[in-house]
Amino acid sequence: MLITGLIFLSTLMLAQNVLNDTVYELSQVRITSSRLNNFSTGLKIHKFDSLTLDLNKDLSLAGLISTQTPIYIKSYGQGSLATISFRGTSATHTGIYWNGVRLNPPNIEVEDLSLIPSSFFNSVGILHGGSGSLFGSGNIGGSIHLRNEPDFRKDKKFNICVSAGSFQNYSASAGYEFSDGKWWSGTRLIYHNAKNNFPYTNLEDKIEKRQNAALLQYGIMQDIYRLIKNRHLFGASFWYQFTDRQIPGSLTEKQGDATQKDESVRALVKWKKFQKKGYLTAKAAFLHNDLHYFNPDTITVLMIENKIKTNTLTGEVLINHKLNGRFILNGGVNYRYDKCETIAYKEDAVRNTIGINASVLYLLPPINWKADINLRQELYNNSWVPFTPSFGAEGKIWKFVSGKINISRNFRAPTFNELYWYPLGDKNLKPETSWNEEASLIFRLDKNPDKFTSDFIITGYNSVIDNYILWLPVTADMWMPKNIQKVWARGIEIEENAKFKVQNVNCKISFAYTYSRSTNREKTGENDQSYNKQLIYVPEHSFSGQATFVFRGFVFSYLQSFTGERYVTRDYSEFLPAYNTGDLQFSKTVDIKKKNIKVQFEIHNIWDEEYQAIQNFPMPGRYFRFLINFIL
Amino acid sequence: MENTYRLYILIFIAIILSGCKKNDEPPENQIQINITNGVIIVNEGLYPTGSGTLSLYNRLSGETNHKIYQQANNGKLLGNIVQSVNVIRNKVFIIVNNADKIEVAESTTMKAIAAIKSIPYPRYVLEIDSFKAYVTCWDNTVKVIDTESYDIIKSIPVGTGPEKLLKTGNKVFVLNLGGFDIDSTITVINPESDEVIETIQVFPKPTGITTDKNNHIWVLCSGKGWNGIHLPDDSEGHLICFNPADYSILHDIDFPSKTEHPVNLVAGKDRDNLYYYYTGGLYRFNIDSINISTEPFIKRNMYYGLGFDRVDDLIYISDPVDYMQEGWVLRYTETGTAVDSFKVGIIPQEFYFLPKE
Repeated sequence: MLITGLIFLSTLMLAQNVLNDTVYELSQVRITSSRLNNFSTGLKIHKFDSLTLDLNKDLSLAGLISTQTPIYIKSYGQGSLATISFRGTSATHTGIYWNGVRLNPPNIEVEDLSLIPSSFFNSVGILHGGSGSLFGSGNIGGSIHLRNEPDFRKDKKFNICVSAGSFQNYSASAGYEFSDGKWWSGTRLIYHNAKNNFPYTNLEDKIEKRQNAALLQYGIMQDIYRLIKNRHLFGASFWYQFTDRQIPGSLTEKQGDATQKDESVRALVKWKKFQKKGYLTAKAAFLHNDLHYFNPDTITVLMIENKIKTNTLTGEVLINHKLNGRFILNGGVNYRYDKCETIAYKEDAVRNTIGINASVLYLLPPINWKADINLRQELYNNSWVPFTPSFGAEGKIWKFVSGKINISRNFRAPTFNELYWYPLGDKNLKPETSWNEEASLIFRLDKNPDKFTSDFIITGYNSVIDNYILWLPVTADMWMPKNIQKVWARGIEIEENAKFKVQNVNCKISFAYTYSRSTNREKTGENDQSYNKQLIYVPEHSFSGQATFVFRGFVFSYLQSFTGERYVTRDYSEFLPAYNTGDLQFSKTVDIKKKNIKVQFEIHNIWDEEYQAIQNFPMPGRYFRFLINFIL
Repeated sequence: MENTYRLYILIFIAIILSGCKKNDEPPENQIQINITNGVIIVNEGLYPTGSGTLSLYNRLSGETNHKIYQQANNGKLLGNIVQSVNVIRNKVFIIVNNADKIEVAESTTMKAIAAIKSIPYPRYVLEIDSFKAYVTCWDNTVKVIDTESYDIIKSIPVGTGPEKLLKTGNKVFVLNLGGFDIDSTITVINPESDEVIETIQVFPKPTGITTDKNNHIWVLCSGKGWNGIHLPDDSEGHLICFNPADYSILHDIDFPSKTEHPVNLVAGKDRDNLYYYYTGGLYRFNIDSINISTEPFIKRNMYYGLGFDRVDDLIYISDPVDYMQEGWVLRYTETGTAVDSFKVGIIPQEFYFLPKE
């Protein structure tokens, strides 16, 4: 708490100081524009810069977010399932988008972020807050947007990265990018093999090595784009990935030998036509996920083997048109087909979604403001789901101060499990609905951008989620999903990003603090003590800070993150203590005959903090990693 | 102005320092646990991440002590799903189902003595004689354990998902509830030879067993299906009574609904009234009656564990609330009057009543 006070104080003082630096900006030919960039007026967007992505290319998306932002990642351990809890909501309330296509599998709507290699993307953006009017169901807490932006400057880039780390953690990745001005191709490969046998303290207070936590992962991502006369852009992307993991249990269970294989095939084609006053895009994608869980324990009758197959086909057409310089109109239709096969359902779960959306963006150049209205209506298997409008505005308030506001209605449709799980699913479940409001103030100092820039952002948000679905027991042995809860999530996010130059050293310092209060507003029964109490696994306070220094090919980076107490029971009777972790990264790039070799050394959890993100799932203490990156 | 970065570096150092600060937790106070004259409440704990706990209700002081095992053993957790306890030869046998173990503790202090490990999905333990005990296990066996050396002496194959067991005369009756599957049998074991002597066919899901004042055995079968869910092949529950000598069925009372399933079974003070849960609360059945009552004796929406304390002659009902927070114990007299209620651990499901000293 002291630290946040300090930051606040520091930024107030900063208001009088002006310096700047632009070393980290990647000048890129950006020809992809999206609704994320144009019609999310008033919402807070966080984009990882290229240096951050480069320094953390050996991490999964879960690792990237948990170390670089204060967003809470619920991790079951190194290499294990990791899900997101954003703005006091659950993982089903955050959509993960790849080139604008939602990846969350329809059976659970929870995407495992530990499976997504962050090295596969050159653009990773986090959109805070409700964006149902842009992207549909399940974007109440926020959404994450992954893509590869094509770069048509004539160039060839080839890199190979190998790494070795503690607990028999080995990985290799390769990337090849090529452009002749008309074509752009990006190829990325990854291989990861880890034993994850880190030591931890067991219930008997003895040090033991984590067992049954190994992971094998490989994947390929291929993007190919063709630009014709600066009028047409054709693109195709393909992403294949396979992961074979052992699933370790909690400390309180016997150590089993369950395994899980996840295989996914994702393919996408798109076409974009640039017109005089706008553009037209058409997109089609196919997603396939295959999950195979196997527990060889012959005694557990409960789910010895489970195979889940999901298939998604989706298509979208969008038109963007600029009217008399003041209005930009956007309209589109989309169709999505989701199917899930599993023995847990008595029938194949199928959903046809048709959506239409319309947006208008109004620019007010004289006062540097813009405002937009987005409307979206979807039809799920021929029945209406909540209409989702939104309004946002942002612009300059005074000198270096600007503001943002956004109000939106959002919803989350029940997952296939909630609807079809036999015999507990309930086909009559209603979608969860929410109203989200947020406002931000941005203080930007960049008068002398070579010496100093500072961005200070303070955001307040508020949302009430109605018909919140909770699995509750009907009797002792049967739990059923019910539209029972009402959740009030609100909070404050404070962020400071500063870049400055001290002699020859480029420095980047950033802090982010989140206060997140997410409470239950409904009682389930006479003895229920959860009324007005914080939802489980939602930290009230979280913080992340980092300092990066770049000097003559040296990069030194330190990250600190703090996660506050999280309750694990709804009445506050059990909680997990707060934890603080620090990570250190050090790299040096050397040029040898026009070729670059970068060596990187990392110390994670440098203070050897013993902590748990999920109750009784141990996390590794201090560990090391060494990387060599050849850039040819 | 130019030196703003110094401030940043200061903050950065402050952050590093905040990170290296190690909080030295004070050692937990050792609390003297005395379970005599108490009632042990078995709390399952959060599934799958949590640990079960034991609460202790003191009949004399009326106080409840939480997490007594942790308190007596430097905060050591019991493990996932504490299913039941039994006090055998001054030792508390604590069954930790999902951790495949039985923790053994000193009965006066709750201090850990031993752990019987690699015992597959244990459910209930019953003292047989001064040397051995039977443990029902979900590998469809009854394990015979030596209560002194804690060795597993023998494994007796029984039906599917053996659960509660009862010794009367020279026979041990094991209810094969079915685990996550279905069974409808009772295995009878000779406790001297540890051999199966009979398998009695009853109705699906035998859930509770008790003896009455005539030394007849009453078994409550839940019937196929789950409460709250209506499936086509659901079957009705049955309350049956048989003679332990020749297994002849003396009574068979069926329940009116195929979709509602009765659970638990305990006998009251004089062993002429039986109590069980059914739709809408706790029901009472007099062993001389012909039909089951259609109205609950005590109305309740949430119930889980059921017990009868022969020291104070009180009915113990547990309320797990939503299984994600601490539950409650409610006490009633045999006339149906509420006595009191107190908070216990997460998912209270079994009671162990210690005798009065």
